[in-house]
Amino acid sequence: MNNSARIAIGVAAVAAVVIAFVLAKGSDEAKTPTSSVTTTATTTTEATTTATTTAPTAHVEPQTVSITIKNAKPVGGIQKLEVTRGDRVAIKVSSDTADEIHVHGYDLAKDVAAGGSVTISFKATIEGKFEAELEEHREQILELTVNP
Amino acid sequence: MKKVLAGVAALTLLVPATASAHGIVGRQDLPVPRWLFVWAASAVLVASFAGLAALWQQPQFETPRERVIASVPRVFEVLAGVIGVAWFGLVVYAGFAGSQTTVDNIAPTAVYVVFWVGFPVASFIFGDVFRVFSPWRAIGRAAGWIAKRVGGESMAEPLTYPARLGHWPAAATILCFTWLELVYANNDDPSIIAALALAYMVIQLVGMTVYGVEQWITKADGFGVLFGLYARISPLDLRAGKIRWRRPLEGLASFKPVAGSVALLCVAIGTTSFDGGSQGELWSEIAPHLQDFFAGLGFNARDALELAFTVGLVFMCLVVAAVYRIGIEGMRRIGDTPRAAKDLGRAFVHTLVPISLAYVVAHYFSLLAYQGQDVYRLISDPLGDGSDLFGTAGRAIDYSVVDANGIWYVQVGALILGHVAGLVLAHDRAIALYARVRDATRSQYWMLAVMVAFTCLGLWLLSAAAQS
Repeated sequence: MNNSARIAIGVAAVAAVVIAFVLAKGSDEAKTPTSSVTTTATTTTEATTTATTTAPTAHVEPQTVSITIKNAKPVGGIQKLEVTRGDRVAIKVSSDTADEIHVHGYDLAKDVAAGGSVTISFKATIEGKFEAELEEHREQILELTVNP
Repeated sequence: MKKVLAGVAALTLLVPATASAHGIVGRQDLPVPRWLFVWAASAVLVASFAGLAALWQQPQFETPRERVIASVPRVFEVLAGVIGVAWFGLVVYAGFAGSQTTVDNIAPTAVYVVFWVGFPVASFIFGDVFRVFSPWRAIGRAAGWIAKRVGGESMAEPLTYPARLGHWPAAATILCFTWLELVYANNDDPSIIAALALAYMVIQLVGMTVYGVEQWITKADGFGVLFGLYARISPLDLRAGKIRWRRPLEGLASFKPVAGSVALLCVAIGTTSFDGGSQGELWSEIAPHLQDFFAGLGFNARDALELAFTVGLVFMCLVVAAVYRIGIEGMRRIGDTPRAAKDLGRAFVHTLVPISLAYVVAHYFSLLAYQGQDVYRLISDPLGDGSDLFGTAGRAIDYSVVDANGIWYVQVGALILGHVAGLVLAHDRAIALYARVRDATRSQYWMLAVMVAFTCLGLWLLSAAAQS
């Protein structure tokens, strides 16, 4: 095999890989709108009539998860919440144990009293998987997934 | 008995929390999406066959072509050593004297992020920087220099390092360190990290005293050896006060494997695989059963969990070794005379280095990109006592430097590039080793199968298929 044949094979291989990438990525993006049906957020219709002092996303209902803590453990195991970046998230915790609720990565924390409840809400700006835990008991209570 | 069962049940719930073993991290990567996984696996196959058909037919890397581009004054070497020792001293001191809360102490981040991930990445780009900054090498060399001044020529010659030992101590070091990182329950405890760092330093100093600095750090210092192998990928060679320029990967072809070199690479790849795999669905199904088994033998809940993870860690290393061995067995009968598996295994072991580095980058890139930034905060307040030495104690991690898509591309890109690099090295070694081109090509079917297996395992570990 001569050198130009070698170069041709190399170029063809690179071209095939690049074209496949564009096609694969394109087919994935075409699918995206249908898969977003699974998000449970509902947009309030009043959003259009109110003065636009805040960004439109602020009118989207937050993605909410309610977690009950019994004996320093989440009832029903570690809860899961999956959201898309930019969504608002509200984590409601009712606990029979006094502790601090800590959302890792976002590094948000709030104390909860025994028998009390607390809500941590924030905008999901960082993509990835995050743990929320009972800080003192080192007990994970939530796995938060923020997709791009 | 009832108590044991209750303990095991409670522990089963603990598995996911323990599985994200790096105590310093509050964030895990999202799995690579399906389309990207499928594309990457196809790209690996295309690259493999194109490489088989189109790569050169004369060995390119066997004779090094390097040239000196700069000389480094000795003062810089000394300075780098001092920085290395000072950094080591700070980490150990902070570990003992500082806050024992993982995220407030610099020791865990300094060891698991800067040392364990930062050096491999810096090495493959800039050359063997760990050799330059290694605190034990610096102390060993300083001690040798002083001893020569004081004792003159009357000093006893160091013993000859036993050939049978080879890289086995290095392999054991990496296995122990990854056990600490991925299995040990108190892996993020600053004072334990400091104590172990100190213990490692003592072992290095004793080893260097007995066998001499150079013999010891190029054979038995696991970190020095492994980071040094990654540095052979780099076009820069930093040795003996000179900076040399060479073709990338060329340094690996001149690596002289010894006993235990294959084990070292299998441990490096196997332990990283286990780190990826232990966060996945498959392992979280297996782990509780193993744990029950050990609890049944009378171990307490925590020990049973650690034992289960130990089994997983060692098992992955053995799987990697077995795959490599199968490839070598396949190659043995090619050519006129059958070759010894030992020799053939060593002849191709350098081709696993880029794959091992690709695993490290794929698994730890986000750790370095995000958690690496935490050094800014920690360096101002290494003990976690509220001080602010450089005015950066308030620095938070900026997660916008790279998003999930960026991380996916780096992960997949690293694995594909590592695969191509391994392929090129194996091809080059094969045509140097076999007299006939046809035999070289046939031997490469086997090496290709090994590499495709490793790369696809790496991709699978990152992908959604493995995780949920």
